[in-house]
Amino acid sequence: MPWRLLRFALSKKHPEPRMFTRHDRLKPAYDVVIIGGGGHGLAAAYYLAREHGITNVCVLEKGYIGGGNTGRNTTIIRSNYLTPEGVQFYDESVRLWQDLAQDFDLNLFYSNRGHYTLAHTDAALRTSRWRAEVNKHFGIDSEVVGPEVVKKAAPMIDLSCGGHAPILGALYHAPGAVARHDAVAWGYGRGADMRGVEIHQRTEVLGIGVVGGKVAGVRTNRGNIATNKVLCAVAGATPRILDMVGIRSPIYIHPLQAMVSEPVKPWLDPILVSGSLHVYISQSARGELVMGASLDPYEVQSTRSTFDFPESLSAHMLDMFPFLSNVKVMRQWAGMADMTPDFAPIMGRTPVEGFYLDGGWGTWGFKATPVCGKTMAYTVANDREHTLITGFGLDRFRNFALTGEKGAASVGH
Amino acid sequence: MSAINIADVSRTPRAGVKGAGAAAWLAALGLPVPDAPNTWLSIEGGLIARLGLAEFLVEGPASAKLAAPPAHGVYPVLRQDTALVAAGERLDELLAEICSVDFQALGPAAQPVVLTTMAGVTVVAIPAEESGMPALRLWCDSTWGAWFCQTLAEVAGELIQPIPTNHQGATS
Amino acid sequence: MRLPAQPGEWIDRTTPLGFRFEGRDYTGFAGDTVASALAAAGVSMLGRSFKYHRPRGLLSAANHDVNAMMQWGGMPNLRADATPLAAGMDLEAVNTFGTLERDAGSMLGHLSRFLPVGFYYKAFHGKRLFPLWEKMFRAMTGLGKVDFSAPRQRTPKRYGFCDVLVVGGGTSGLAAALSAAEQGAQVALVDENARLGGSTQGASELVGKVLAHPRIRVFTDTYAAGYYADHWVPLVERERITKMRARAVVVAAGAFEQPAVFRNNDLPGVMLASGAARLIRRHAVQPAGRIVLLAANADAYQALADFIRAGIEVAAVVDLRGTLPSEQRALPAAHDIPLFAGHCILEALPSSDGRRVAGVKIAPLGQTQAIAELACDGVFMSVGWAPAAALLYQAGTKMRYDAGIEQFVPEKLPDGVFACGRVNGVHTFASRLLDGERAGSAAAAHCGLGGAKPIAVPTETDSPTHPWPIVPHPEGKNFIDFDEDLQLSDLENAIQEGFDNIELMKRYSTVGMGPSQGKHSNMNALRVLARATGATPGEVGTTTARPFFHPVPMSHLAGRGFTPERRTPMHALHEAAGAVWMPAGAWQRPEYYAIHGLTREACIEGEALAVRQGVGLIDVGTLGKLEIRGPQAAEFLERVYVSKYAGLKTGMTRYAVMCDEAGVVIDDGVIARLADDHFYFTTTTSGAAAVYRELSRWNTLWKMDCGIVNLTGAMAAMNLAGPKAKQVLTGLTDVDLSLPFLAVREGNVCGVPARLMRAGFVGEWGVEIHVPAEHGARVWQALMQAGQAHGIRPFGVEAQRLLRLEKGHIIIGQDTDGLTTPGEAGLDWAVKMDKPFFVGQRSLAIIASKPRPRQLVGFMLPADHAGPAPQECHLVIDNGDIAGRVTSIAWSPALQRHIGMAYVKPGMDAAGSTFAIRLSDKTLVSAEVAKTPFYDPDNLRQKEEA
Repeated sequence: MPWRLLRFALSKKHPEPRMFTRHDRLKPAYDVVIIGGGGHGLAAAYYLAREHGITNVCVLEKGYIGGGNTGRNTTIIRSNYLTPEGVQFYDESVRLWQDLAQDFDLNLFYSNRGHYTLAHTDAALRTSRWRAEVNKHFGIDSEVVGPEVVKKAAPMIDLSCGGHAPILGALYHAPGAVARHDAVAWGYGRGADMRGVEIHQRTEVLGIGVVGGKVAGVRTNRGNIATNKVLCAVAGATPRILDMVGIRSPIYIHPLQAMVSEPVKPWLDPILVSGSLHVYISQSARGELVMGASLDPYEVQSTRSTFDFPESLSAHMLDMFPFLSNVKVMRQWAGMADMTPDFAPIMGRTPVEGFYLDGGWGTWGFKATPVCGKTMAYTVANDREHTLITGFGLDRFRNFALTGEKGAASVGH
Repeated sequence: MSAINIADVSRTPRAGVKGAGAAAWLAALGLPVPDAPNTWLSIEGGLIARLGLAEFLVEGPASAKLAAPPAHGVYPVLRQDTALVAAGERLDELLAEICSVDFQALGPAAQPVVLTTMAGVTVVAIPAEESGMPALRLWCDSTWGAWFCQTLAEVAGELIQPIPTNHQGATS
Repeated sequence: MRLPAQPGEWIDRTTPLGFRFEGRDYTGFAGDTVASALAAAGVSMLGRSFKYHRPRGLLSAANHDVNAMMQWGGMPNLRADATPLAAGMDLEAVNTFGTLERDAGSMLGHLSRFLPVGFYYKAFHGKRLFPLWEKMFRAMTGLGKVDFSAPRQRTPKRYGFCDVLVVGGGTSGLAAALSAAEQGAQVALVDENARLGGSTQGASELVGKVLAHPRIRVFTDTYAAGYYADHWVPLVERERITKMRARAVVVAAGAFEQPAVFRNNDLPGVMLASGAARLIRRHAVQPAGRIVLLAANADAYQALADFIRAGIEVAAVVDLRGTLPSEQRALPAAHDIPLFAGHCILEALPSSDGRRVAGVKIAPLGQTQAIAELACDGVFMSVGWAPAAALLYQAGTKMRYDAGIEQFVPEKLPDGVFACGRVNGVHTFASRLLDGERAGSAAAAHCGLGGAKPIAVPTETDSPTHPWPIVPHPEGKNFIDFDEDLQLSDLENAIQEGFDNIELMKRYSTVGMGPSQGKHSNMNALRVLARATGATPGEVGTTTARPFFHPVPMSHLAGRGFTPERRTPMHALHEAAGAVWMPAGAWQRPEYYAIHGLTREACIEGEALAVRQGVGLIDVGTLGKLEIRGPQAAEFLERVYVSKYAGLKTGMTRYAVMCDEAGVVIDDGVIARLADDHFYFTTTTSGAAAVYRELSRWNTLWKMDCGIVNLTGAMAAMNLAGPKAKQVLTGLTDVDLSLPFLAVREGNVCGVPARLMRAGFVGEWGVEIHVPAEHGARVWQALMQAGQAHGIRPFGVEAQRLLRLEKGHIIIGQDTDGLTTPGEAGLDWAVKMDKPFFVGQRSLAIIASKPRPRQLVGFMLPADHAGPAPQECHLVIDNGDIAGRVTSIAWSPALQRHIGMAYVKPGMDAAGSTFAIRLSDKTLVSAEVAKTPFYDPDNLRQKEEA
């Protein structure tokens, strides 16, 4: 029983304090400056404070917390990736997700729904088996299933997909889940705030001072900060921040769009992704159908919406679920995906001492929020990469040690 | 003349060529060469169309001339098109359903050649007139041809004989 | 109650329509909306609110009454105020538990003090019980129901073009359309209502002119869904979408009348004055018998005139303003209607059954003690407006808050975008006409048609919007967002919890996130935030306006959903031969040819056997086919492929491997040299378009003396292979069939110009025959005919896969993946690092200096292997670790055992050594590394000379 709701009835004044302290000014110095107040940045701050006792930390957010990709993604959480590095990394994330609401004492609507990556071709079925086998090797619950299993999970689906892309099977990943994305930022933010971390919104980083190859400070629109450790955890703006410290990365940015329907009574439990049709769908706790597709096929640093996106996505959705003809699309939006050549993130130290990077999150960042925060906090605290992220270093591009996730992020969700 | 009429003229002889030397080579063969990109000229029994900057499509008996050995900077393009003539009073309505180009605004007088897609298939389109009715010459790769013709027929058919829509198809 | 005939009413009294609502029968007229018909029948309660299941009625009659959403059979979420009445409708309110009348959900209303803003974040997250709570939430939050048996609707879209698109057919929109058309523009005028004219009377003459104008195309019952780059505006009509490309856009979308916020402002009978006026004028419905009018602007008094004319008793006018213009005071005075200036409504009082308003308590502004209680069955509110500026925001307009009229107005419009009327901050009727004329003229001028008329539009002297139509109440239930059931205290509490900027407040409280997307709530929410944080509304700002203006049905967005298909010229012949099709991208390819009585496996084996022992014919026309000519053709090929071609003799072919800049294998094919400066080469089916595009891109950059032509669709291609193939071909061609292995010849086959290449993909004597597409079918048929005597069989993709595997030939994308470099795939021999340059060379040099991470090897299972065989992508396991995976595997009829290819760790690749493959059920299968080719290891059969 939700007994704790009683206190709302029992007190005349709303008994809830501010989740995020408002700070009038920046301190002249911090032990760690985190650029980016999204899920990743706030999570890193949280774990720095909680696990490493490092609380003299500020998080600088140009806009409002969670206003970047944390607030724009389609909230799918899974660990059915292709490479051993990826699988172990995302599995740890899924593990952390299980207890997150308890850690925060905040309901994240973390809902285990089961995730099906539909295969419409032999090649897709093959890749599904590859992922399933690697997943199982590491103890993750994934399996290749036949179309009859898909039909059982979603009896209303048209297995022929309008007659031109019949479903041959699927990669079924039982731990697949969805969550309320904004709440994750708030949970980490409040948790960090409670432990002494300062979150500064409407604070834009204008420059980063590097002296003798080491980070010396940060210049913002609200004043300058001295620090020896900077964690860059922004999406879309990563190249701009890297420019400030003279680091190059192979990140290229594409827009990623999504759309949502009017709320309807619950009918879809699992999360469905189609590699061939390049679409995916889930139903939120509010009853809205959350739908997306693949990246816009060109590099643009913009969050503008286009009309062809809902057109083609709707056509593909009706191939799978013809009865959705009368359901209406309420809203479409977009975010920016920082893509990397091997579809794996870039995490860890950089050639500039004290400058740590958490970026290149493409279309796979939201699900990694907890493990990202945890491993980056460790890395920043110890100036040494956490074992789970050694495969994601920036130097792997120069060293040709790419982590080949291209198969798993087929539609990337 | 019916509301929409689509005739298959794939068998008409045609040939293509591209390259920096193509324009001069065609002129040397005695063919008139359209100056501006994406325009066409009438020739005996056919036409010559400039596709973009340096590619040409020649249709009609004159296309046989393109069998001559190519000169420097001249690259023959084997044409195996599905070629159609679409005409009729309601042609514009058909086009409005499958193509984002405003053919009305082009003005056939300028003899434009349009490189675009229709119903998702890449096509070359030339607006024309047939007995006073709006008409359109269309060419597409013949491997898309069967599907394309089928789709045109479907769309045209529904325009002329609308399928009764479910009255429940309201937008509110 | 239905009124006598109103001038210009929209209903047709000669056409009554019977319908059902919540199990009861009613009658309305053609021209009614569902809501107006029910109002005429005296039905006040149209639905239940989202969270508290409070009775709700009509609020706006302007298509944002989410509380009046209904379900008709398989059609969910019909908005009663915007859905035309149709005979036989059988409607139910959405989201009730039981019936509308007896809704079990109304119990939640009593729990409201336990359910403040964000309450669902504060509880319900216990691990064990969350799934239960989630189920409950999901059952309670959705609105309409989806019907799985509803058929797919295909509503074809179309494109449209115009010079000037005018969005909104009210006063200023009509003026703008006429003004633009007069200057020669082709105008498209769009209005979401069934008729033009907007919310104001006095526009009928204008309407007539517009309808008569030859250059104005009118779309009614149509709304502009959003603004997309370059004036691309989808117009959503009842039956379809027209994608309009304009050269200039005039946004005359008007403004949303805003509700006042006071306790119980959500009772049925409390509605916007403009909504009530619309009911009266359009549908001849008297929405209430005795009303209190809550006013704060001139519009209120214009509406008052309508109400009086409709015979409604006006108990009082309560005006939030302390002083008002005399002409406004005059109207209530003339009718002995008490006017309470500087007063507000403290709360609305419900009837005994709670289904309707029965009275109001009023007080002077700022006081909390009521000074009077007035009986009434309707409260009409006219306190202000919020601009319908979504399209302007989406176009990138910079807006500013105009404190004089208390609304956001455009400050800087993008090129080609114009605004007029209420959305532009112009509210007085005469001014709206001028503003429309100005904007239409400017829009036409932007298109190069005439000059922009310099029309000065007077600024408003009085504010049409009250800056704070909000009255707090200790007992709450003063609603700001009717979709989401959010009260004033909910927003204040959200702000208190730190969600104190406009986006955070929205996301935490969900204000503006319901189906009406904030049309009646965003402005008031903004005002609350401004006051709470001591900022101006301009400083607070608005949330991002995104498409769509109203929710759009998926059928309309999808349209026909064209999915083009590609077919080879022999398609019909394959069909006739029993081909079982498999999609390969947009192509259809025969997977195998079905023979009655035989299983799929048996058919495939039979086809493969035919190739090994007799002769087979396969259609390989889906392969990419490119031609390159010019003095630098060979040099170009050497730059984009890893091997050397400068020395390739004319009349010979060579295998070709393409890498990307990272040294990853991305495509393969065969390059044939037809002359010194002329090559013909193939790519994989799926790579064709990308390779052509990439090569064209390279040549654009390098500007080499050569040209590339894409012949993929222009050439048909087939592979005739098998020991009897030469016999079949003899007599059909003038090409000397003693041509050496890997040679290419141009000649005739069946009287048709052809290119013949002796290939070895399937491991038998074979030729690939390429002919122009128009001859493909004929040549195929001729070969099949000639082959009858030799038992020729057509063979498909599966048989070919098996045959090539027996020869150890890789398939790009199956035996290679997104990281495979040539060395890993056994293609080192093809890489000529001593060339001056080729794409990927630099990367391969770096890679060569490091230990190779894996190696592709051939393997065999023991000849006596029993039980299930591994499948592709089963993992190779070494010492409990992943050491690779199977990429190809098949039962080889020629070798009578399973063969395959797999990646293994270096050191595991010695021929004869064994490794373990793990099946899905965890059992391990032993495999032996084998040299390839498995079959005919010396390639004698494919090289066989005449």
